[in-house]
Amino acid sequence: MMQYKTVSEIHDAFDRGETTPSALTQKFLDRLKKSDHNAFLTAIDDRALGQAKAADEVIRTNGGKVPRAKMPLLGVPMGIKDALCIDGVRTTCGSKMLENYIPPYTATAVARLEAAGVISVGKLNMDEFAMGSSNENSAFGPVLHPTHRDRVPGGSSGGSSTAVAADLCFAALGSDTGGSIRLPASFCGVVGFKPTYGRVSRFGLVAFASSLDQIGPLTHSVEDAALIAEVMGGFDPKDSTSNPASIQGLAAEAKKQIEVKGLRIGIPKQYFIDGIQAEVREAIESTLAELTRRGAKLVPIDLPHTKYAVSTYYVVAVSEASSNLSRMDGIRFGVRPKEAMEADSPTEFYKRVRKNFGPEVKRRIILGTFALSSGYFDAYYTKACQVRRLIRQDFENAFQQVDLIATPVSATTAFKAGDKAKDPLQMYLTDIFTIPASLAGLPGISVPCGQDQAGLPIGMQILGPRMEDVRVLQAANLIERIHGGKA
Amino acid sequence: MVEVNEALIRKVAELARLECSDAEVSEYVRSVGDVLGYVAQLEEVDTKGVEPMTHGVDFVLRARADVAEAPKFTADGKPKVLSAAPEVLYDGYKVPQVL
Repeated sequence: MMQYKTVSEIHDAFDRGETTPSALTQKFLDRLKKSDHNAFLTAIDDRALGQAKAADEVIRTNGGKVPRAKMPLLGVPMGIKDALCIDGVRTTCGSKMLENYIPPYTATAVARLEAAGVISVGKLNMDEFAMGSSNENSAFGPVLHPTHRDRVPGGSSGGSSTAVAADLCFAALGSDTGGSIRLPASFCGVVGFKPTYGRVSRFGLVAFASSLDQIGPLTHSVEDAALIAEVMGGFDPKDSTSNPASIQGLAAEAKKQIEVKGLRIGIPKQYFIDGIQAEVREAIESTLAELTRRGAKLVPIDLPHTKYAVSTYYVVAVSEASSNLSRMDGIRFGVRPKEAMEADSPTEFYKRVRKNFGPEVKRRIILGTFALSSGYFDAYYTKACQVRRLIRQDFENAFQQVDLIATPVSATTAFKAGDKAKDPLQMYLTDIFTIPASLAGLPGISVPCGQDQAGLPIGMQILGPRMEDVRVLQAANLIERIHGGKA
Repeated sequence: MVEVNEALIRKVAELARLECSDAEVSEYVRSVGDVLGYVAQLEEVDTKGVEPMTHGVDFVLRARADVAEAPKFTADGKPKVLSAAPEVLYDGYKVPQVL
């Protein structure tokens, strides 16, 4: 186990001279290379060690102390989901299609983290183009669960959750389109935070479904999740959906104790359904009972359109994906096999290139192309967009009565590898509790709240109104304290 | 509700420029059929007069000024953007012949 639980503890250790950015980086590089979890697709040795050396120098020239205000993440080794571009570093998005893609620029989120001192130690495995809930869809093989090897780590940011839980990097970036940060965080027992849509620039994130995609951190602690979100978040002119509001002060605010007395926590009946694993229900309910004991009020709420969320999502997300992935054409992006150049028509050329998509990606492109096709557009795409608004209105109505909403992240703990791989619809339904907040653009977090009898982690989801990221983080902080500290 | 059969899958795959083997087509008839069968539940929602929500944000998407950034070059003086090209010929993207 890693001896440091937070960035602040790492910085204390640097200040004491107990370790250095270079030593810590080398330690993680050694660990990630020795690991057989298949969590990393690329180790970034030289670049990371160069960054670490520069970090050593910053500390040395600052009188042996970390300049925390200026470089709040100095010397922190992070893994980056392979959907995010780093200049000069292979970025595959878990796909054969981008097997050799070397982006000429760095994603805004990563660039801001590195400017604050983060050391990017490697690129993390993921479901191909972030399409999956179990990390069994990567073209480079599945990621193993950090502790239970027969189980999935969750997806699509499964490399990120396993790497943090197994101490292969200190923290990680993931991306969440329908639950891809919160679900793997829950399955692996770490904190996973999806900020309000638009708070973290998507510039340099390979697009899956642009109206849903959001970058966020996976960490051992809520305080680090807040810190990372603040550093990488805020307005970016390079993302047309970037929210202009300032994110400064998020980490400091998130640390403040939430006023529990009178805190109104919404309990949506649609999320506490039959079929939830008994231990998951117990863990959530006992946490809620403790919150009540401390003065919070549980308020039953109704989110009547919840049952339509998965359907809505699987029309909206696949439609956007089919459009976004059209750029994987062997001209703008994507591998270009030799046989493609021998094709006798552009159509044949594209087909030979697009053979490199895996089966789940092809399935979703087919679904999306269908939903957008002439004759079906209104019945599927327009209809789903209308229901999406109703789902969002459900939340807005609920937040008239409550401050936050608490739910399980998933109906079960991590399931066995192979269990749902052959049944796409069952796999899609795994995200039933995370998808609605994605459709509504709300901030959400998964925070560990117990284990089942097999020792598999259970996550609690806290959702807040748009732009109330602080409130969500403060509540998660409290839950973390109730459960005895950091993962 | 639409009937998902081989002809539909083949037609849509063609629109998406995807080649599918016979085995894939029959698998997609089943799985795409399952998903669309499930999605058909949306028909029961009353959406009369509901404005479709096509974006994740409330504000009008803004465009940034159309100003070119200075081109970036690699250490050996080649334009950096070429690192993303599937094939390169004389400092340029090589594209397939179409005529």
